[in-house]
Amino acid sequence: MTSQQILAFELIERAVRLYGHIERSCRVALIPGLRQTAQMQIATDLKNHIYQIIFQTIANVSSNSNLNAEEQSDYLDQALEHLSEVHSRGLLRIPRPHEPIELISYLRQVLLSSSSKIEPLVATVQDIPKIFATEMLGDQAHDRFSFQAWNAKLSVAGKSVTLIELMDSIGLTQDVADKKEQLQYISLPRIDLGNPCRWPSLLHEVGHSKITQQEIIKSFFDGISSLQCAEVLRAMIPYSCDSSENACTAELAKWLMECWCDAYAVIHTGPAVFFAQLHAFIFSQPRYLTAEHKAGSGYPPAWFRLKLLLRLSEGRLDDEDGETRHRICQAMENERDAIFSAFDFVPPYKPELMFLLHHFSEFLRNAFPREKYTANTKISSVTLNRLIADLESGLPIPSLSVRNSDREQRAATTAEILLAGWLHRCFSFRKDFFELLSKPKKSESNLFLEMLAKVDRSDETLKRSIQMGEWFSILTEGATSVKEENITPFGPEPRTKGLPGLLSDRDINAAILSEDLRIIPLIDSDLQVRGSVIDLRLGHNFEIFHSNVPRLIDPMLAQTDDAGESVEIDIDFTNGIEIGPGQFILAHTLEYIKLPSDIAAQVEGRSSFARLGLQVHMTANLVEAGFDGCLTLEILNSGPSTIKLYPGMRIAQLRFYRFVTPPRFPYGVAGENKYRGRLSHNKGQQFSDWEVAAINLAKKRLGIIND
Amino acid sequence: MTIMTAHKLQLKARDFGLVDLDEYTPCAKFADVIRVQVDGKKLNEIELNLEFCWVEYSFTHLFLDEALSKLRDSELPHRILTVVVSINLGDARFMAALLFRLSKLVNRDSEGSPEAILRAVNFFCSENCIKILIQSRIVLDGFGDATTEEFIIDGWR
Repeated sequence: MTSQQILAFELIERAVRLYGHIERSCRVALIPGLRQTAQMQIATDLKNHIYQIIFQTIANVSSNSNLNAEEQSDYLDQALEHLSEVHSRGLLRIPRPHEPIELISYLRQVLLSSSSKIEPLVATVQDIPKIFATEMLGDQAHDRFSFQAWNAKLSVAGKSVTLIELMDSIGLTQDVADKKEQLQYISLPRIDLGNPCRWPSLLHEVGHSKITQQEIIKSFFDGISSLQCAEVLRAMIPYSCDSSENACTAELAKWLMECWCDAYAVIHTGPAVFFAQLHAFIFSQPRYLTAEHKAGSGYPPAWFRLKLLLRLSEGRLDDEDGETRHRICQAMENERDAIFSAFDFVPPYKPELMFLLHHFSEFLRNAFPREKYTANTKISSVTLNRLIADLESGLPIPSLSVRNSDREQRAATTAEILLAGWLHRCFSFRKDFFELLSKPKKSESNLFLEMLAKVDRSDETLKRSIQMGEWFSILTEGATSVKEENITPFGPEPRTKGLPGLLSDRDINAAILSEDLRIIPLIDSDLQVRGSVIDLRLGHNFEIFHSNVPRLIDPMLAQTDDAGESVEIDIDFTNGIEIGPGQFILAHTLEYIKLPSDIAAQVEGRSSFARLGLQVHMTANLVEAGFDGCLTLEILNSGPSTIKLYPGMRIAQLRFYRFVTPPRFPYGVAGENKYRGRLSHNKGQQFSDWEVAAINLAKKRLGIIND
Repeated sequence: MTIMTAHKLQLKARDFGLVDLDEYTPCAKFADVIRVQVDGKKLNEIELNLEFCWVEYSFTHLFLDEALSKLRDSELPHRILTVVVSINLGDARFMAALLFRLSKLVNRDSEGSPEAILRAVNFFCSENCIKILIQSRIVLDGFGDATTEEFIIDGWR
């Protein structure tokens, strides 16, 4: 792919994601009975506009385009600006969705996890900074509300003071300090909320609350000789407001702060930060990546930061595993070079910056010694390769099936998952995406839907993977406490292997071990697979139907506007969902199931819940051979009491049957695949049945118009 | 440009488009260049010109080790490795220690102080009869004047 095509991909993918974001945002605001506001019309206009940008970009970078490489670069440059404008101005006018719960899960894992080996960054969930979505991009996107507010200048009796100084003068410093601790909000551009690949950048923002510029500059100067101090300040002269020592020191402190925060993010989330920051720079406004450096801006040039990020990331990779190291390093360097080349940007060679870079590197290496900070960013090549392979095959897996005597899977770290996400994106996703664009004879609308599905799927897969990582640690810990000590070992392969009939736990385990049958995640097979069933857990995504909205479901009306009929919500495992008597909701299994072509399954409720009056399916309990995806659960509370369910609970069971003879048409082969591959629940798709189309066609021929 | 005389090879990193010698891939590529271009048996002098390149010690060992191992295997006596850089981060002595800080060939066991690194490099050079010259040529801003500082690790003695 040419560098222009790579940049075009970034642009198109971002535009598609923006379109999806607007659509989701509007869904949040659709409440039955409420008047549709102008926001909805603005949203529609924005979507149309984005749609045009996408197809204009495709036309301009395709092989048939009349534009030469230089013109293509110019076009892309303008289109990027344009898209940024849509984000920062357009999104202000449409509703704002909640942040995805997987983001909370990510922050919990990175900041709170005791498994990090480094001391947890925060002590309790309350200390995790709150994320808010912002329409701003680039530097403006990352206002740290608390600190901005406390440092805001006020005019008191003709003197300019900061709020914190004012509080101090009237003896409220302690109070302010407490509040300062409480007020931790960090922001992320709205478009990146649903894009887990960009989440590592949040750690950079968290870094800002961990150290002050005064502390950084002191520690930096403490580590070098006085002669070197003078040389460093001299090197800062071209980049400061003026050549005074104060100005140079102030600018140096700001540069160090930014670089320290980048390093902070690297040591907590690994090389994925490099990619995340590179992409933040591409889409920042004004374009930080290639703009000429402004003296006194408080930011080092973007390419300087990228160079430092690269050094820090590369320097923390495992020396012993040369192949993986080479692969990761090459991916980082190629990605940056391709973007630079697309903008026709060559980083200037400046001896003073080289000098500064050296001192910054040394300072950060000493601030975060490798021996102390390795656990969180340790990348296992086996895990990484497995994750990439799974992502390429579309499996939402954070886990590894360890191929040994037991069937345990283990969770990958968030650093491994996000790096795998980026590598997958750089090596195959982008290529597949571009191939999709170059396929001939596709209608625009179909192509667009495919792009939307592809981007959504890729985001969902990574989000799910991150979430599963947390599930693993919670449930594995819980499982260990109840596990019986004298559990029968897995033992030799059953003699009945391959014979038709109902599978026992030994057969199920054998099928899992051979990977004919995939259950993802299988957190503890000894507790989950017993007798002739495997227990399935409740997922986090629900469809709640509004009982006060009378509706007619007519499968013949394919374009039924179901907006407002129900609301889709994500529930964290800490909250749970209440289901009132007679209430019906859709849910899904936490597990992603992949059945081979000769095994079908039946889903049933667990007896404990059945005795409370809870049904988990509505006469549709057969899972066809060849099916893959999370199972949709149709949950009805037929009992007299409200029941509260928590994601992660074992709520259903699956039993498996091997066929006497394999079917001619396993699920999906004969085109019947409307419920396949889902990562959450799926609403009824009865209008997409072929007979509905046939009846509609017949009605049309007869001149009958649907009501 | 590669200049090769009877027993000497001069390689300028920039001529191979290699500027970022603080990064893994360019350093690995430069090591490959040395591997391909140097017939170790017939050469006793290698000059690596790293002027106007971003040099940092993280990966310099990749190509320095390659050059040193080629010289070590040479059949000729009086072997010399010259490294020319256009930055001096302390003095030439410090710069030499920095370049070999992560070398797996010469600096396997040292504890990392510049003195210890130089001792290890010295030991390797003496064992293999190699002289290392580190030249820092610094061009002052805009004036074209250059100061050259040289540090020698003499393994011939």
